Amino acid sequence: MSAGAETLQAPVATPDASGRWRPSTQGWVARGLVATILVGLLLLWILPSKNLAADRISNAVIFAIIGLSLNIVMGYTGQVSLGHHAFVGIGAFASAYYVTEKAHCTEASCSMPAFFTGVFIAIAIGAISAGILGLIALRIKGLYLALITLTYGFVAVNSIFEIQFLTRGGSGMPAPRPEEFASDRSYMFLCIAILGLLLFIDWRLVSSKVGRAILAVKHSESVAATYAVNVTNYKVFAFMLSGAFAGLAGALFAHRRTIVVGVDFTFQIALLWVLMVVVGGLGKRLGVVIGSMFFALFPFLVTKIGPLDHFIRNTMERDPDEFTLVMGPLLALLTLVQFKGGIAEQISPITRWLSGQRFSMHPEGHKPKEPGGLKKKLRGKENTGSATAANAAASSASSPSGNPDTSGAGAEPAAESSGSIEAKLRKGVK
Amino acid sequence: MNRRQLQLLSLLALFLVFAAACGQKPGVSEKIEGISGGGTSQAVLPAGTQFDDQGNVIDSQTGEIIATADEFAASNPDFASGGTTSGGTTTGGTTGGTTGGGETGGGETGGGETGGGETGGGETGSSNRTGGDTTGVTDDVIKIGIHAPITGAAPVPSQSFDKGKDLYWNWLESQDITISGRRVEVVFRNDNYNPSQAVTACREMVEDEHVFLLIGAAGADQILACARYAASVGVPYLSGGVTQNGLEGLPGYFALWMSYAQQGPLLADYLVTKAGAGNEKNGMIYFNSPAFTDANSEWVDAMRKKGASVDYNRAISKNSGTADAQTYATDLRTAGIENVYVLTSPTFFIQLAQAAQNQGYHPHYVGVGLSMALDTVANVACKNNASINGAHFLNPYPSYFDSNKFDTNFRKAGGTDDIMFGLWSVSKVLHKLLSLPGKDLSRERFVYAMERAKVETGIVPPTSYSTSNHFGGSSMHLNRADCANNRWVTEQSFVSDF
Amino acid sequence: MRTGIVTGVLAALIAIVLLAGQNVESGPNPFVVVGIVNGAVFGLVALGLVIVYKGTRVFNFAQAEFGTIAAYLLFVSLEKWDLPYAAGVVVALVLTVVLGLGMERIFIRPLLNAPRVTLLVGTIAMSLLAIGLEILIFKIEPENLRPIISSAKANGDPAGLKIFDSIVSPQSLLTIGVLVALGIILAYFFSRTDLGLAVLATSQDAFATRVVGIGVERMSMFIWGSAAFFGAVAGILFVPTIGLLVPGVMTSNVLIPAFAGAVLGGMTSLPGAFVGGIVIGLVQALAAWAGGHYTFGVDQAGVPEIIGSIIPGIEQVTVLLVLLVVLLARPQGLLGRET
Repeated sequence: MSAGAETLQAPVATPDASGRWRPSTQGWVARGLVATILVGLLLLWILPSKNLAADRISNAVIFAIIGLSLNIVMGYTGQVSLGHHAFVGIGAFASAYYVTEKAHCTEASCSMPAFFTGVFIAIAIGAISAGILGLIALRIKGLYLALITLTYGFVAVNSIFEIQFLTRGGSGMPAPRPEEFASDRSYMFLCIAILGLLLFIDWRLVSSKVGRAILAVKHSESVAATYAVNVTNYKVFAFMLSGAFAGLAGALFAHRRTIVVGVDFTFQIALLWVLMVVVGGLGKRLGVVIGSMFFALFPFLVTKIGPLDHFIRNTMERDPDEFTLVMGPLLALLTLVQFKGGIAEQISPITRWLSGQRFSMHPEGHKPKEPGGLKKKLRGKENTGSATAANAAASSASSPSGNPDTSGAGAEPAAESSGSIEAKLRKGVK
Repeated sequence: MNRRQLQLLSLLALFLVFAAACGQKPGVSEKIEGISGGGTSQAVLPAGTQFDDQGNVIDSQTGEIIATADEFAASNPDFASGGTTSGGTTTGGTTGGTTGGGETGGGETGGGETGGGETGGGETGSSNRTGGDTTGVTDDVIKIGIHAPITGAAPVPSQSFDKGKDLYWNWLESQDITISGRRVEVVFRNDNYNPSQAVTACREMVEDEHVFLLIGAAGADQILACARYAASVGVPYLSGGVTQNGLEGLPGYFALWMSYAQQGPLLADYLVTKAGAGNEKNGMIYFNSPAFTDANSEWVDAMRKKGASVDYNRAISKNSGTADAQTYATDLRTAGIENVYVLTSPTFFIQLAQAAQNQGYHPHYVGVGLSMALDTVANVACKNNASINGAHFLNPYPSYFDSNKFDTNFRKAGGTDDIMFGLWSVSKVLHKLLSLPGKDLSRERFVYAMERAKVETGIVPPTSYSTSNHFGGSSMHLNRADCANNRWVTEQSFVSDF
Repeated sequence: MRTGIVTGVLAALIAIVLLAGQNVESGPNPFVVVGIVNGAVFGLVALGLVIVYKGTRVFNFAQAEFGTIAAYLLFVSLEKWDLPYAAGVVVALVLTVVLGLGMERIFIRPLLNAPRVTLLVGTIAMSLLAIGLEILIFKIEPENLRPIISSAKANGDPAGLKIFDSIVSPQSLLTIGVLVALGIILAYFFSRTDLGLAVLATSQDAFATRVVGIGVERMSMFIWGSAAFFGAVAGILFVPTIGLLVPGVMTSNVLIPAFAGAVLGGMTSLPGAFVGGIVIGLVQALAAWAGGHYTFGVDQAGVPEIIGSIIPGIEQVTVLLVLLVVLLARPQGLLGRET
């Protein structure tokens, strides 16, 4: 949940002994107050939700998890995955298959252990299948990988999801929920809690040795290799983590609708997921979560605006859902052309302020650029435990709040550094 | 305070918030135990009896009360178990239900969060002496929900659905005909030809619109998924005849006409008797889904019993595109299949027919189900030189072209195409069915009455149901594609054998 | 080297055709014809992909959607405005090219110097935007587009050419003819004309090109305009043969095989795209045929199970395998040369 993300961020950029500007006590109080109000408003909106509204929020949270998963591949490793619907679908079917066929759950009876076993199987299978793709990604670089993932997704939908004894073909595999999560409301809280957990994992990962290594690999594999980073392992690890997130999202997706069908996972939705991550801001956790949730909630929000809803349904005789496919790409194109950095960049003045810096509309904040980000990060990697300064720099480099002192590789808009991959690809092809 | 401590603290706070939030979830512990469905009912409505206005069972000649409404409801535990499973997710909160709940063993007690404010709960409470679940029923309105694939399967103009769903009921109102003083309000949702979206649509109709019952108009997989959901929340579910796999034994499910499996022998009979299939090569192509396997096996068995051969039998992916259509058309052509039973979505049927047309291959297409025999399908498929001309499909209602022979009121009421005619026909059946339980309409009483109902409307073939048979149809119409006029015409009506 | 590869591929193809035909009584396998007809469309779209890739080094995910747009424009011209077919085709082609130029001006031009991945995401967004707009404007209701040449004569007999017991519809023959003609014209254009060389130069080094006085913007305009044109031609030729016009029809049916064909041909080679598209069409059709023809084991009822039901979607699986093999073993494709 984005609420969680905000609370999480506060400490991320806590200034330390590095001599940076830090707010006074009143400043902290003001920031705390604003954060509390924001989180409070969000909770006020979410907590009373039930039935349909809760179901839509669950959907949005699942989209946010998918966004985080894609963000690992696209934002952190700089690859493009157009086949994420395959991983989400595999997770969904894995969990549904286990719960229905192995644990013999029905709509009326499903136990918590069965449900969570199903979810864990989904995570494992998602991780394994993405790991295989990661191994392939080691050989195929840049844009060509996008093609492979797209085709892989296509194959998953047309072949894997059609194997009748695994998926029950066009009828779909039932995915009942345990009675504890039978109501949409309780299921919503489950989804939100899981998103909170994943945000925490993602945040800790990026600020750890592994995360810095992955970002270093993204920036330049050869440089990373010279610093004794095992490029192969970290790349495959990043894919597996992304696959695990996607598998988990798939399991939640399946149990949300209590039935899962192959036709749920069209290539259009995979492309839309890519766009929502771009709109959210590649590599920016909070932005990705907001962007994903906005994409998921868009049709629902439209129906909340009376005149707009009336216009769409009655004057144009169209379904609000159909507008997502127009609004999403438009936002993505605007992000690419006009508002670079996406939502994360647009809200960065606020998130930066909340994380304990001076308020500034300038995209880079108040701090001047620090050179040698990558080197610094790698130094940080060497002495993880003690060198807090380097640690902070490294972690903030990819913190969701779009920190100003992100001069290093990780802070660049992901796409930019992927250009180097393209350059390498060209070299490799020659 | 250093960084690490701050991080931990904030994390702790975060989980506290979630813990607090989760602690609030109501209705989670309130699992409602009910009597599971599937048992046989003891009380069968004796011949010559009917319900009176109070819901008592009376002798239709003497007017003598044979059983009071309460006894009657108690004798039918089959379905009186609404909301057994999902606790808080069910509509719940029907205050009427709680009044009589003790006797019927059913009625939805309702989760705390949904309680109160439901349509009609309060008003009907007093008159609802039998208890039972009266969600969606007030003194003057019965609310029903329909789902159908407007998109994703067939060329269906959505305006036809919008207009058609209310056509019959508006006409009834204009004739001052009511169902025990109530009129019918129809809620419609598009299920996109996708089972999981169908479940979402049905949930919306049950949880937000509080409909009395659900109807699946077309699409086997969607109907299967929704019927299971409906059964889990105790909502009666009616649908056109599709599959029997998974629908048999669902307590509140009824097929409004013959299922695909039941139509299989009928189609085989037609093929052998009328189309000379005994000496020809026959094949079937159907979507890869458990909802179609029973149709496939019944038809193949029936064909073999009649001495006809089945030379091609293929399940294909629901995602099949144009390349697949070409493949299967070539396959069928090289196998020399002369009669092709197509059980897919109309869009795939159109592609298949077009691919066959491109290769100069014109088999005799046959099949079942209403969505293929839509005029819009003929309109699209016939355009390129009559690729489906002469196709024969069993249909639950006559073609629009012939509608006046069956019901002149339809066109008078403003019906202008066959989708509206289909909805009109189903509404007419529904009118009869909803009238059966009389004034005291509750879900339990409706299902009870359904299990003894014999319905004849003159459009949809007659049906009769029993406690053990929820698939009551026995005859169909036979429609033929007339590509000269881009439409379907009805060749034979109410046929149960050829 | 290249001659060797081409000979090898052709020999392999002929071998496949002969082998696959063995079990059919009357002549070679009819699926070969199906494959070539489908492959011609893949090749046509692949040509557009290669032009964009040659010019801008980016995969154009919107390439196939130009075809759907053109098909819809043709449909509107014919059914709503009652134009004659030829006029409708002209309207559709011109408007699609204008649209392509507009897209280039609004979305591609500002990204000319952006990283390739950004451009890639941009084309994905454009393709989805086109599908979304088609849904909004035309709804998801399928329509039917008439072919240029009817597939049946006035007396109801099928028109077209009879090849080995299979009838190839006139529209499909036209598609193959157009593909061959466009392939030759393009090959000439890129190797012999100044403009063609300028386009190639732009893709190599935009800065150096500018130094020698070639406008990169003009080149970009030219590339996207002609890409839109090729996409539109493919759509106008292909959509009538499938009998169904729905939003996104070209993207969901043609884009991935076309990409596979282009990659197989080397991504930068026009003859490669041509050959690659047809090979992918053949491979798909023969895989589908094999899937329905050969059996493996028996099912519960004791009936032999066809491979197609054990591996559903076998044609898509083979496309993925072809892509993987090419990219892992020979990234430059069959005829590719990193120019």
